[in-house]
Amino acid sequence: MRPKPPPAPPRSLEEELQDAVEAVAIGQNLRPGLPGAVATAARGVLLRRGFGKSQVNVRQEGAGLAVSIQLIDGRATLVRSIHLSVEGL
Amino acid sequence: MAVWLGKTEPFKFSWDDLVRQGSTFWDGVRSAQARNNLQAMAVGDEFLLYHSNEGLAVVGLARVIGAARRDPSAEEGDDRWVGVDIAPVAALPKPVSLKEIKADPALMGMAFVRQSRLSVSPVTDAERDRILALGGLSLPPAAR
Repeated sequence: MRPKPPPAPPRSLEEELQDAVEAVAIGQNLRPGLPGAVATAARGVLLRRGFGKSQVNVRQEGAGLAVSIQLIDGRATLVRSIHLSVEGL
Repeated sequence: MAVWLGKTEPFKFSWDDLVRQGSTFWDGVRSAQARNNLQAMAVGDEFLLYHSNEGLAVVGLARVIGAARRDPSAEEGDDRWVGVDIAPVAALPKPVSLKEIKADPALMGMAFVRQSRLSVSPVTDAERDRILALGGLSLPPAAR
């Protein structure tokens, strides 16, 4: 019997966010609702990870989208800022 | 033929994007009233495109080329939201600013001025003709 492969290492928040926004955006034409869909995908990851308060902004940058995420704690203090980009839509 | 106005933030999707792509699916609407307006659109209707947040002006005239269908950017299983396909007709040589619209007696009552958060709104024939005139675009008058 072959031993089970070791479990995949846990993905970082940045990796999970990047995968989520790419899954929504890659191969899509830019549409008015696409930035919103990207933001929703990012918020889904944040909620699953237990980040209740965040600000997600998506805007065009060149031929892609730039995603800016700010995680905020209960005192409305910025605790972490994450920047992602999706190229070649 | 009806006339509509749709608002978009140009740093997310602009008139230039519409021209570059040749058409787009106007999606992402999450307000019931705006959704009802999308559902009322018919192929051939005119669609004035307004840049909100930055620019604050009507920048071009498009046409509805595909009637309302489910918005795939809505969450799985949420079939409430729809979008329409539009294609550009012509840019306004001179964008018509919100300031001009609010100052013009023929335009100050436009639905999108009265309901500033409504992203898709109806436009009367007279309002459409006035905006195109202010924008320097010469097209036949609207005929409903």
